[in-house]
Amino acid sequence: MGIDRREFLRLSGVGVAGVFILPLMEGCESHTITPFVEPKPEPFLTPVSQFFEQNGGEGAITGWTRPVFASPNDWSLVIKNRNTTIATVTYDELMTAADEPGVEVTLLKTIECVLQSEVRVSPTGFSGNAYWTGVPLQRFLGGIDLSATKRLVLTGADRFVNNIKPERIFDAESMGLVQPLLVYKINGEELPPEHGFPVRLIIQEAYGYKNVKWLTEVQAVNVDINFGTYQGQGFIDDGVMRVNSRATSLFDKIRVSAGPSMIFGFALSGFAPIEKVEISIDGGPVGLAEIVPFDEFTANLPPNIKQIVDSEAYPFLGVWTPWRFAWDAVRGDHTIAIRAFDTAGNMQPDSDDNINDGQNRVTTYRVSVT
Amino acid sequence: MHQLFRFPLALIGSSLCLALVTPQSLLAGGWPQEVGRTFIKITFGSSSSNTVYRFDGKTKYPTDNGGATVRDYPLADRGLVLYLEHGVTGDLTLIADVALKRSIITSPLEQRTTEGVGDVGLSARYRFFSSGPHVLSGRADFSLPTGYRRDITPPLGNGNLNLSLSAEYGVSFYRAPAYATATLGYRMRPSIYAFSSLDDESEEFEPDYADVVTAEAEVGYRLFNRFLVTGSIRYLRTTRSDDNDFDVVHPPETEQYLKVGGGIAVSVWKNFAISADLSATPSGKKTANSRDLFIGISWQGRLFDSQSNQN
Repeated sequence: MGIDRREFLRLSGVGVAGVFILPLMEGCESHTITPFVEPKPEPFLTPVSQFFEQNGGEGAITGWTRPVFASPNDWSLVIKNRNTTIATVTYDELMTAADEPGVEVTLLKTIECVLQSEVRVSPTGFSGNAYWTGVPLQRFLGGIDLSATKRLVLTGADRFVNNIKPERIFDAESMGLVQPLLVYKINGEELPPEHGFPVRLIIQEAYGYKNVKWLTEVQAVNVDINFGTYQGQGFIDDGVMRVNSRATSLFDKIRVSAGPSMIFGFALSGFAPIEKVEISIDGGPVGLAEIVPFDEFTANLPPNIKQIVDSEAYPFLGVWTPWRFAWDAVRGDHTIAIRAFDTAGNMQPDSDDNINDGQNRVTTYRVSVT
Repeated sequence: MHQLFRFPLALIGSSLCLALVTPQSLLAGGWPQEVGRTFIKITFGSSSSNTVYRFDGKTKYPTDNGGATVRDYPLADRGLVLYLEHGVTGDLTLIADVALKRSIITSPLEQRTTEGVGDVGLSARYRFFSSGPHVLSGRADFSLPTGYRRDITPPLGNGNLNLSLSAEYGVSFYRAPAYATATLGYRMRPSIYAFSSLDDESEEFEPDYADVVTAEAEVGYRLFNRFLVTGSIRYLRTTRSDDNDFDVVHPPETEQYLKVGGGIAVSVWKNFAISADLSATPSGKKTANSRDLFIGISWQGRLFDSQSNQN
């Protein structure tokens, strides 16, 4: 049975008209973001209960489950030289070392995930700041044949793997960095299970995935290649936190009231301390955000934190630097652009040229002032 | 089989796509419409997910974050789907569908809602073979975005043009008031983004969605000449897989799922019927672990020939 000419033309006309009408529907789309909690300035130290949780293995290791250690004594750290076990560190031995004068280190460090989500799951995104207490990993690596070691393989009890170059451990001081730590406390509390109980690694300048949780094995190898669970997914091998900034009192497409207001946020770099944060409204003149003075936080910090003890200049490398910016919001739609710089000359670029390095281009928020 | 129920119910379910999963194909059945007859169905669909399937098939909360509150049903889609079939010849049926959608992502801190018109589907079914109770058809589907922004969260769809080709087989078990259908399809998802737009035009966003293989089966049994009870099973998997984590922000480039469901349709008045369908997702990879509910009302007859509307 055939289709008659009139029917064919009618159907064709409807089809062609439909295709041209499609783009007109674009204006029918609406997109709203409703916050349950109004954005506000965040504390310098992130409470442990609010610290974000991301597990690299969950998205990369088949059958991943969070390791469970009923007791710290169930944990041990195996040290291998190539395939030969040269030491096994127990939790008691770690605590014994910590009790020696001058061995235990407490370090301020921001953990930032190399992946950030557009959907806000915590006020600061996948970033949190804490002070971490531990013992330098180097202390337990005495039997390693350094002459033939190119990388140290770091493996967690969840099979998450990363690596670190030996010079980052053995030449840390000359690099101006704190030794990587075997950490057992966060903000003075025992590590919670989701943050690596009983022992995790903390590397001062590194994104979260380099700070292996539930660390159970360190193996010296003589191959100098980039590898690791996240590296296998394309992320940068060095894991050094790139210069980033974020507002904690704004989110994209937020509606705010007109009038004088204060924008709060933080900036961060693993290469060097933050130098400045520039802000531009609607592409206009660049203003400088005020770096919040450190003495506004010290009341909540114990005095034995390494950065304080060493009297390092604030802002600190690897620690978020809170900033604030006074803005007289006038009615209308505005674009707020934020760009952070560190003292090594790094800055947020105009465009994101590497989606696997964790760095955002100039942070931009579209704000409707009503 | 009563013509009012000929339309496979699972099809409506498949035309409502969760924004966070790959748009599903419009596959099912094999019987064409009679010449000049039109089938119209309006369906309200609701898909809700408390968990998502990871790349390895285990489930997790999509927006869980340590100590933060996990809210119920963080991923949800609501939609009103208009579906039309029209018999052009005895073997050729043209099909169109469009959904007015509301997609919702709820994190501990915020709820993101996107509303608008999702993809428009334009399809043709052609019967190649018919013998006794058996029918075999081929079908081609175009899915076109309607200009929505593909880089917002959640989006109303993937934002690219889709083309599906499928083979549809149907068998009637007459004299038993029952039928069965089976469909096998292949969906191409080329990176053609001309029909969608960008919220942030300074950033290129053109994901490389993998092609999709679909398989679907449905059985239906008519009771008391008024009720039709159906059961269906749908399987989808992309032609490639990866071990990247499920990302709630944008639809995954690869995924896999199995959906099982059932429904009931009731002839209520003349050429009208109402239906309700439920489905669940017992297994999957990189997809929402959703529960889906569809409630629809349909009409079938001749739009331009009132005398023939007596069914």
